[in-house]
Formats: sequence, C-alpha cells, structure tokens
Amino acid sequence: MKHSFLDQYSDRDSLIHRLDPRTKLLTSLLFILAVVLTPPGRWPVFALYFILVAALLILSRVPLLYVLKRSLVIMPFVVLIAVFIPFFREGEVAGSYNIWLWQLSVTYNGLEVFWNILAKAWLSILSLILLTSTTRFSQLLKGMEKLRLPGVMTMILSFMYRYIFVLIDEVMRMKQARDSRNFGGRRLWQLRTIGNMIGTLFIRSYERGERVYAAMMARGFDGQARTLESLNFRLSDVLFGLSLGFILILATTLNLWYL
Amino acid sequence: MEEIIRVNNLSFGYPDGQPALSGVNLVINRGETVALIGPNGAGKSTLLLHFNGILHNDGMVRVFGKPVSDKNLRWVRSQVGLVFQNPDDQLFSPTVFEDVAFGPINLGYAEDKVRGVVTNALAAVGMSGYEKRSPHHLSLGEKKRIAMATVLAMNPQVLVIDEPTSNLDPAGKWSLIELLKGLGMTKVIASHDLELVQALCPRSVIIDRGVVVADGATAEILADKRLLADHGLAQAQNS
Repeated sequence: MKHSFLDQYSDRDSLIHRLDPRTKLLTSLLFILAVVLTPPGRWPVFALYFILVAALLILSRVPLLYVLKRSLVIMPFVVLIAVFIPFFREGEVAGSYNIWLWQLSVTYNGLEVFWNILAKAWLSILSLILLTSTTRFSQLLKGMEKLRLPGVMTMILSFMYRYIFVLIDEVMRMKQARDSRNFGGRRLWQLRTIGNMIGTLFIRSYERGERVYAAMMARGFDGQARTLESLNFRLSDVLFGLSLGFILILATTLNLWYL
Repeated sequence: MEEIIRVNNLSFGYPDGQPALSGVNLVINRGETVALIGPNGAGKSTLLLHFNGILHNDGMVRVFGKPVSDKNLRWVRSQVGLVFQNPDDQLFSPTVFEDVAFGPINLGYAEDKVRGVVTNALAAVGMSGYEKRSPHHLSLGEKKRIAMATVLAMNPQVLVIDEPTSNLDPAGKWSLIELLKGLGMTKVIASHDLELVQALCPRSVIIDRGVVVADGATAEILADKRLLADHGLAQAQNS
C-alpha cells in the first residue's frame, strides 16, 4: 500500500536543504528554546520569531499551503491542553458563566497565557515542520548520531521510521478482515474484538522484531551500530548558524529591554 | 567435490516443545543449486536458520568442515548468506543504501570498499539508482531484489534463500528466476514453487515433518507424483 511520507519535500533542493542536518537540528532546538522562554505578552518578539521562521520557510521552497495544513493538524491537541488555562488563572475577570452548579470565570491574565501558549506551540511546530521537510529522515538520524545522541535512541527512531507504515498496513488489513466479517453488535463485544486486535498486533510486532533481529544477525550484527561517516560542515552552515544565533540574541535583548 | 555445508543428525525443537527437525542429514557441495521443498510447516525455514548459525546446536552443522559454534559465527555468516522470506524483515534501514551497506560495514570493510560493493550488489540485482529510496515505498518485487543485494554485498560462498518467489506475480517471479540463474555461487533455495525448482535446481531435497524424505535429481523427484502428493506438494491422489 502507498503512504504519505513522514519527510515529504525533503528531497527537494534549496539553501536550507543543503545545510548540514546537525546545523538544522541545533538551530531548531535553539529557536524552540528561545520561543518557549519568551515571557507572555511580548508580541513584538513573537512577531520577530514568526518573520524569521516564515522567511526560512520561503527560502526552503516548501509549499506554504502544505506547511500551514500540517501545522493545523497538530494545533487541536495544543488547544485541547491549553483550553482550561483561562479558567484557572487568577486576576481581573473577563467573563463569568454559570453552568448548572458551577460558576466559571475567565480572566484576562488567563486568556493572555492561553494565546501565548498557542503562539509558542505554533511557532515551535512551524520550525519542526521546516526541519523535517528540508531534511531526509536518514540524514536527521545521522545528524543525531553525530551529535552523540545515544545509539539506542537513534536506532529506535530509525526502526520507527522504517516500520510505522508496515504496522499501519497491518492494522488496516486487520480492520478490513474484521469489517468483512460483519463487525457490529453490542458495545461490549466490539470492545473485546478491538482488544483482541491490539493484542494480535502486539504479538505480531514482537515476532517481527525477532525476525528482523535474526536478519540483522545474519548480516554480522553484534550489537554495535555502525554507519559510514558522511557529514560535512560547510561555510554556509557556519554562516547560517551565526546569523540565526545573532537574531536570537537580538530577540532576547529585545525581551530584556522590555522589562 | 568440495563440501560446503554438512548437517549431521540435526534435531531441533522450539521452546514451546513442538519439534521442528528430527535427525536431518544433508550435504551441500560447491557449485550446486539445491532446492529444499516441502509443505508448510515442514521445517524448511528452521533448517535454513541453522545454516548460518542463527539457530545453532553445537557440532551438528559444519561449514567448510568447521563446526558452527559461538566462536566462529561472524565467519560463518560471512560465508553463508541468508535471504529471508519477507523483505520487510530483511530490510530495516531508512534507506536502501544503508541496508545494503549494513553487512559490509559489519564485516569491517573500509568506506570506499563498502560503497563499491553496494554499487555492485545493486547492479547485480538490477536495482542501480535505488540507493536513496526508502524501502517502504518500494514494490514487493523491488524489495525482494534489494533483500538479495543486501546479502550479495557480503560476497558469501553460499546463498541460502527462503521462498524467493512467494507473493510475486508471474512476470516478477520469472524475472527473479532469471536473476538467480545468473548468480554463479552455490545456492540453497527453500520453496514450494515447483516451477522455480524445475527451472533452477538440478537437485531437490524433500523435507516433511522435520525429516528428509527424499534427496535426488529434481527430474526424478518431480516425476514421482505419488511422492509429491504424499508430502503436500501436489494434489492428493485417490487410490
């Protein structure tokens, strides 16, 4: 079965695509750190971050509509988590509601924190989309390896990238088999069937793991992950890193100046 | 003739107590192409896993006269290349290149040599130019060929293949058979695809319920309809 790519558009070519994955990983992390550490209500600073990430997205020649869609897929989760905050903050009340026995009130302070969380989440998501749609997953893994991330973690990520669609296929086939045998009936019965499916999926994955391990051993694997060295920092990496660092420092000073 | 693999009275049972092999004797000589045929669950795959020591029972299997043991597993695996039935198990890396390079890197080749053998192995299976693709976006036929390349890249003396044509369409199957014909090394092929056996293997070994029940020229074995029917390789006969 055909699937969408986790790292769609990463095989295109642009200034951003050509950067070393380590540069991109580190600058993305720095960017997210700077965004998260910005105090609530510093809208000019957020605007600056937005301009920065938007400029990079345009430079990367990834279709902007795709980026927008992809970022909107994740936002509902953020909203779900953040939606309660306005009700729990103390401060000047913006509105008060009576729902049956409870009295709920929304504060201005709480609303500000809410918008602030949404903005931070969106900016972070945008930067991660930029990272994953300009870097092949395999390159990203190499970058992590070179940055001395523990081998177990990069291997787990690598297996995830390889097998997630194989597993999705398996679930899809199980669902089709279930539906073609007239799935339906009582709630309780349905739950049991789903439980059985989850169990089966787990056992199949476990057995697949054993077979994959056998295939690795058959080719001389002895617990040591080895890869070829093939990453090189170039002048463009240095320049990119420096200019991004400069902008982030500028933004942070803007923060301080605001105080 | 030089003996490559010798199996002496090999028995094996899985941890759940189910016996898979009982007293198997088999010799594979250099240059042969041998078919291991038998019904589902006969023990073919279990036997294959013994050939390069994934499963091993000390002293029962010899490769080039040396008993397979914990100490020489690396060497054994560089001599006996095992291609698994399901390429989704065999191909586990994010890109085709990394997968084909996995074996050679584990063998300790230098970078230039690794790149060379990967290029050659992909060319040998007709998959040049696939280096940067990721396995889950390939068709089954392509995956099967690349699975073959991952083992060829280690330049083994014997190629052991489990069900090379299962689930392939006829065109894909025959092109794979042609590909296998072109590979000069010793080959052991487990299959119940009798067309493949006839086209490729001068010698056949029938395994059923963990026992070798026939070992001889393919032409004779495939002509014995009674024998085939008795071991689930042809339609059951009523007589």
